[in-house]
Formats: sequence, C-alpha cells, structure tokens
Amino acid sequence: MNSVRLGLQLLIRGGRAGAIRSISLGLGVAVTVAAVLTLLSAPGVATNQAERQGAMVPQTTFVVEETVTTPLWATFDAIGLGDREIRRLVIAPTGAAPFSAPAWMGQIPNEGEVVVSPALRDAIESDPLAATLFPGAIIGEIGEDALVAPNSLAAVVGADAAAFDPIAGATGLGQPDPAGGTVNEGVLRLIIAIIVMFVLAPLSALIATAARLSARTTEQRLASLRLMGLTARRTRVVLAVETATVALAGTMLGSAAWVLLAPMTERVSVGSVQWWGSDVSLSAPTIAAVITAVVAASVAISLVGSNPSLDNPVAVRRNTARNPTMWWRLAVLSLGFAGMATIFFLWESIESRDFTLWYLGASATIAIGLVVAVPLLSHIGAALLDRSSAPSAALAARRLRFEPGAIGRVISALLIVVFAGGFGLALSAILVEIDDLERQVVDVFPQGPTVLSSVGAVDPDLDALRALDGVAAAAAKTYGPGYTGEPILEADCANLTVLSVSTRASDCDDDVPQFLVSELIRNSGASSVDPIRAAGASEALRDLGVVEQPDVDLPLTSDIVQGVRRSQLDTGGTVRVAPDLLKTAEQRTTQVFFAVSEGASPTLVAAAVSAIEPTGSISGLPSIARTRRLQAFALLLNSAVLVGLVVSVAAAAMAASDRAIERSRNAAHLAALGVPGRIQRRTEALTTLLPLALGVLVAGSGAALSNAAFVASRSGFVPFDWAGILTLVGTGLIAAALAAAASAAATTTVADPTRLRTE
Amino acid sequence: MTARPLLHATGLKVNYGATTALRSASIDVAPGELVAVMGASGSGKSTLLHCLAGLVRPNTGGVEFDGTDLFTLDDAGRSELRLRRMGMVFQFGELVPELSLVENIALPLWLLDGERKAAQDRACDMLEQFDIADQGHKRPGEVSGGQMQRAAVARALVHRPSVVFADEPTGALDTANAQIVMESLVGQARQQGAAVVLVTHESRLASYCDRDVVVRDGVAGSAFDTDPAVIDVDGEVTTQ
Repeated sequence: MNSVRLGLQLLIRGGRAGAIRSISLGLGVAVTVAAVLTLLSAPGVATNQAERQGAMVPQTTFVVEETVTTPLWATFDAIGLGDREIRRLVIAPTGAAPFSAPAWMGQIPNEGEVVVSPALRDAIESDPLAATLFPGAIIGEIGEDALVAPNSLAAVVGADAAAFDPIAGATGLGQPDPAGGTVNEGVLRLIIAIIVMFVLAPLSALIATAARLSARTTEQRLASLRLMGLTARRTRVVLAVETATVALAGTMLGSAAWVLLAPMTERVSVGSVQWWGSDVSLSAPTIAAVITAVVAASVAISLVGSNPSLDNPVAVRRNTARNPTMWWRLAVLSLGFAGMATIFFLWESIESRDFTLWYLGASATIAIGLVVAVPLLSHIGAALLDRSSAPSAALAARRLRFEPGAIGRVISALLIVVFAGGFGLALSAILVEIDDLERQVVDVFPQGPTVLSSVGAVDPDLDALRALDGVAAAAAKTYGPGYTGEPILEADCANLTVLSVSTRASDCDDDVPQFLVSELIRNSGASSVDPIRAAGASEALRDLGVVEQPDVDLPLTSDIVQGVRRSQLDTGGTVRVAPDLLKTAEQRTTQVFFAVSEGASPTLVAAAVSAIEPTGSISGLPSIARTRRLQAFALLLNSAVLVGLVVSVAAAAMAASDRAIERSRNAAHLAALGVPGRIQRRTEALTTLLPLALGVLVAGSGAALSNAAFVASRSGFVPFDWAGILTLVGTGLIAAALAAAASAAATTTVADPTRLRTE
Repeated sequence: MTARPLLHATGLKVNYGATTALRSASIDVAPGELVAVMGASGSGKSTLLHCLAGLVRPNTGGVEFDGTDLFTLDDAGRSELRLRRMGMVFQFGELVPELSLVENIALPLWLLDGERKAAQDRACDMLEQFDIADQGHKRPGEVSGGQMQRAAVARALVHRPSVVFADEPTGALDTANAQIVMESLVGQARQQGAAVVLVTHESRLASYCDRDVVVRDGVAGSAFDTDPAVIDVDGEVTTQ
C-alpha cells in the first residue's frame, strides 16, 4: 500500500474522532475560503461601483467657448435625504450637436420631467422632502448601469437650457465621480489591511485548530507509523493526504457556498451601504488560487504541528516534556512595542508618506511577537499559579510548564484581534469624526434667520423664489469670469435685497456685525462663530483685505453662510465677507441668498428652492450621505472587530475543549483515584484562563499604544479611546473566561470505565 | 475472615448494552486480606474490581465498604471515599504526565490535607521505600516502566488506604520488574494493614495473595467488546 492510499484509508477509517476532526477541518476551511473570496471580491465591487457611479457624471468642458459646440448642458451634484445621498444630474440638450440618451436613462427628460431610480421613486412616494426636491413628472427609471446599488437614490432632472451657466456645457456622460472620492486610497488600504487582520487571523486560527484537533491522538498515531518503520517523508505524505483531502472538500464547499450566496448579498446592507450581487464576482483563476492556497496552508499547518512526532516518535510515545521556554520569545514583541512607542513620541518627525509603512510594520511586529511570546506567557502564568497552594493551581502550573506552547492555538488569534482592535477603534473614531465635522458644515441650521446660498445658478428667478412658501426674502449677486473682486461683501440682513461690495475695508461701518473670514475657516466645525463688532472689526477686515491664504483651503461659501446662520444675527444687520476668499469667485457665479420665514422648515424651503433652481447646488441642503460613507466604513470596521472576536473565541473554545478532551483518559484515571471533579475543572479552566488573560492584557497594552500612536499622528483629531480600549480588553477577558469555561465543561470528571485502560 | 468484611459484594450483575460483563458475582474481602481475582481475558475481572471500587454501578446487587453501601453515595461521595480510604494501581501506571514522580505520589495526600510540603515529605519517604528516591524529580515519561509502576504503587499507598485495588499492575512489565513491583505492593500493604484486591491472570502473581477468586467465563474476548460472541459471558465467581 503506498502512502497516498494509506492516508486515504486512515482518513476513511478514522472512527468517530476522525470524523469529527474531518468535519471540523472541512467546515473551518469552508468558512475561511468563503471569507477570503468575499474579501478578494471587495475591490472588484468597489471598481464596479465606481464605474456605475461615474455613469451619470457629465464630461464638462469648463470652457465657455467650447460649450458652443457641446450637445448637452449638465450639472451634477449629490444632495442629502436624511442619512442618504441623492445623486442628481440636471440636463438639457443644447441643440448644437445631436445627443441620444444612454440606455440606463431611457429618454432625456424635458423641463418639469424627471427620471429616477426605483429607490428614489419609492422615497418620493413616502417622503415629503423627496417629493419637494423632485416635483416633476416621473417619466422613467434609471437602469442598473448607473446605480451603485439597488438602494441608490438618483435622479436625472430635465431643465431649461437657459438656466445653465455657460461653463456647464458637456460633451457627454460618464467619468469618475468627483463626489465619490471621499475616502482616499491610503485610508482605504489601512481599512482593508485591518479588516484582513481581523478576519483572516482568527480564521487562520480556526483552520489551525481544526487541523490540529485531537493532536495528541494524531501524534501518537504518526509516531506509531514512524516506529513501525515508515520514513518521516512517507509519514508526512500520509498526513498531507489526510489533511489535503478534507481541506479540498472544505474549499469546494466554501467556494460553492460563496458562488451561490454572493448574488444574494445584494439584499444585505451595512448601514446604508449596499451593492449589486452581480458585482460580487471573481475570475476562475483567482478562485482556483484561493483554493490552492488554503489547502496548502492547511497541509502546512498540520505538517508543521506534527513535526515533533515525526522527528522524535519515541518521545511522543513516552509523552516526555517539551523544551523549556526561552526569554528570547519576548524579543519580537519588545521590538514591536519599541517601534510603536517611537511612532507615538516621534510621529512629527516621520514623513506622512512613510507613516503608514512604519505603523503597519510596528503593528505586524507586535502581532507576530504576541504569537511568538505565547509559550512565555504560559511560563509566566505557571509561575503565578505556583504561588498558590491550591492543588488545582499547582496542577495547572505543571501543565503549562509541561507544554508551554500547547496553549498557542487557544490564544493566538484572540490576542491578535484584541491588539488590532486598538487600531480599529482609532480609525473608526476618526472616520466617524470626519463625518461629523463635515456634517456640521452642511447641516441645516434650524434656528434664527436662516440664510442659504445657491451657487452656480445664472439669472435666478428671484420672483419665483420669493413666492415660495417659507421664503421671507431673496437676493442674488453675480461675479463674472476673471473677477478680481473687492475685499468685502456686504449683505443687508433686513430684507436681503441689497448686496453691495465695498472697495476698502475702512469704508465698513463698525456698528454692524461683521465677520472675520479667517475665524470662519478655523472654526468651520465649531458650534458658534461670534461676529466681530465695533472697534476690532475694521482692523480685522483691513487685515483681511490684504490677506494672502498660504496654508488653508479657501472657505466654501457654505462656511460663510453657516457662520451667518450661527451668528444669530438680528435682522437688519449687515454681513461682510471677502468675496475673493470664495472658491467660486474666479468663475462666473451667482450667489442667491434667501431667508427662511420663522416657523418654516429650512430643509423643505431649501428643497423647494433647489427644485426651482436645479442647476445650482444649494449649500444649505445637507449632503450627509456622501460623508456617511466613512461611517459605513467605520461600521464595517467594527463589524470586522466583532466577527474577529467571535471567530477567535470560537476557535479558542474549540481548541481549549479539544485539549481537555484529549486529556480525558488522564482525567478519568485521576477521577478513579478520587480526585474531585471540581479540582479537575478548576485545573482545566486555569490552564486556559491564565495565559489567555495575561495575553489579553499584553495585547490590550499593545492596542492602547497603537491607538495612542495613531491618534497622536492625527494631531489629536480624536481623543485617545480609553473606553474603547477598556471595552476591548474587557471583551478579551470575557472571551478568555468563555474559553476557560468551555474547556472546564469538556473535562472528564468521572471515572468512566470505558476510558480506563484495562488489558 | 473477620465477622465483618471490609468489602462485601453480592449478586453483582453488570451489562454494557447488550453485553453481560458480570452475572451474579459475590465476594467478601476482609480487612488486611490480600485477594487475587483471576480469570481469562474478558471474564469480567476488571469490571468486578471497578464495581468494588465504586467506579461502575452494577445493574443489580450491591457493594458495602466497611458497612457503607457504596451506591447509596453519589459520585462525589464515592470519589471522596476512594481518595480517603482506597488506592488504585492501573496496568500502565497512569501517572499524571506533567507531574514529577514525587508530585504524583504526593497528590492524594495533598488533595486530602492541603499540606503540600507534608505530602511531599511523605512522598519522598515512599520513594525511598520503593527504592526510586533518585528518580523522584523526573516525570513519568523519563523513567522506566518498572520505576513508573513502583511510583504508581507508592501513590496508591501513600495515604494509608484501607484497600488497594490493583488491575494487572505488572501486566506491562518483565518478570524481574513484576517481582519488584509485587513485592513492594504486598510488603507495604501488609505493613500498613491494607487489604489488596489484585486482578491478574497469572497464578504466579496470585501466589503473593492470601486467597484466589476466579471469575469464569468460557468465552474469549474483552468484556468491552461489542462482538456479539461475548454476550454469553458467565461472570460467575468461585472461591478456591
């Protein structure tokens, strides 16, 4: 019988224990393959989504002279509907060149008509705000090719060609979406790296655990083969055949499940993030590569783990002690901690482009160091237990000293997850914070004389605006191309009918409220920006008149408008801002200001204005969904932490229970001697708990350092997350207790005669 | 035999599923008496020993230990009794692999009294009496089978039990080591006044005891086999 056939024979005739091991390994591999395929398909989903997202974006020339020959007037923006984003394309054929509607649009809407996505159609029917935003007649639905996901809100609005800015000429539709680039590539890489760490590390541990189930029994069996005369190489082949066969079956199961279930995932949503099932796809070579890699990894894990029985079968048969633990095992972990501490203290000296490399390097070193240090943790745990006079503690201490590395499978994954959680928390908090800051800028301010600004509309229909319910007053100011601008813009808040430009700051009247734009820049997310009054104002504005903007982005019009709203200006006041600090000042731009009547909903009024002036973007309307995309990533990140914890706890409990079951014969004989069950259970629990708890504390320290370093590098953008770290460590300790309880429950505490060895 | 036996078992019947391992077995063991339980493989010797030690609850019949019906006690009570009043020696020693020999021997005393130091001192005495003092710091995997089995006997006797149950204690040893182990077991038991119930199929070993008990079967195979052929196990006990 050759080695391959022998391996298959042993696999088939492995009995109940063999069947359990095979099923566990197969399922572990299946879950891992499905998870890896899902992760690998994520970039493809993102690419497909980007293409779909770009389908609606006009190819605008931005050159007035060229718009003479373009076939289309078009503007594109993204506005908010509650927490969700509506992507809005406003178009009108120019008549200068032929243009046919793309397949996803069906037909070009005329003024007063709209083509909407199915989800937006539903929203219009149920949400008054959506209905106000899109009052036109719905003449068709947008197809899949221009929708990111089944729940995407999108509209193509028909408009009057005369309403467009001359630079809004478009040669066609379809290009990368400028509104989609809210998450830069570096951040994305970090997010993917951390998710991979969270998901793959525990899954690897799950495979390792499954591949090494009944390890002692397997080792004894392999040692028997070796002692019988099988060479180490042939014995490895036998083991490899056993493992590979099961792993292959597992990969087939996992792949089949993924192929079948992937299309159904379009019914799943993470926050408001959704995707088309058809986007979740991979090429056959990629799937084949994953299958090969996972099978190879499973075989490698089982072979490496069985090396002792192959190299020294006599020792395995006699069950002699393993090598003592060495302090060098701390070296890698120390190096990682030192690296992270360096980042924490010297992050200012590290080039921003090198930061990611440094940070990931230190993180990986700590993660590897945690795994390498596991036997040492067992040793330290044993030393602590030895201080106790309780028999169970002493027995646990002996076990840990006897096989310091045996606990590795139980705790490695959990430690990595707890450690990586520190970074996950920091990144998650930053993503949420960015969202919150951006949302503050664009949120509609619900109190006071609300001023909203519409930028880009040409010759706005002020009469129509003033006739709207809820609009108290409206005014407009247009700046032409090449406008150099005077330094101060004044708006009379009494009726907003007067917009004037002062040529010199010294001409300003100090008795009226004025704004220092630099304050607005610095405090764009702050809760209040106080107007500068009287004596200090002229000087400040004088400075402003000659100010150069070296390091800060120019403020958006919305920044200024926001400041106006937050100032709680009494009507009758004058707002002065510097138009040359407006981003739009260099283009031909019309700003529309309107005040909302007391008691009216600013959001609905803004929506109504937007419907009348669709070619202009309304600054006062929230575009929360665009920024909430980051929060969706934060949600994904937190989900990954949770999945990682659950999988690693499952792996830990499985491994700990397996170890307990493996010791069942020994435990049965102890029970026959009269050793109480509670001592056996305590012993087993302590054997699992102590190294695991120590590891969680070490990993928690790593997580805290990692969190602090990342937070510090963001200049205190978010505070150090004490609560999060403590929660993480607490969860880790609970997980440790669960694993310990599982192993205690699996311990044999009765003298089962079937486990007692008789002749 | 004294008026009141240390162990009194009557009408023991044990079934493992459809397999009958013992049928109507009765036995008395007096305090300090050494009894050899003999019989062929599969005859039910080990099952009888397990019943006497309270490890296996018989389907019918009962076992009294020093006047106490073992099976009126719950598992914890029987465990307590075993730990305090009984010693066990298994065929393969079954020492705790993580503990050294001295720690293994000290274990019952330590669990009983909670005095680790005193237990270890007593274990060291036992190591000397069993002539393995120089092996005390080693783990079971690091010593010979004979040394390991002597340690197992020492562990069974360290707490001065009333009875020692030994299930083929020399089954895995050569003749010379078997003799050393048996002499150690019998000598120490007699010195302590402990009874011994020795399961063996070798008449040479049975000769160390005061009395033989034969468990007859007439069917080859182990009592734990699932082979239908062993269903007819006799399990009748006779005294020679």
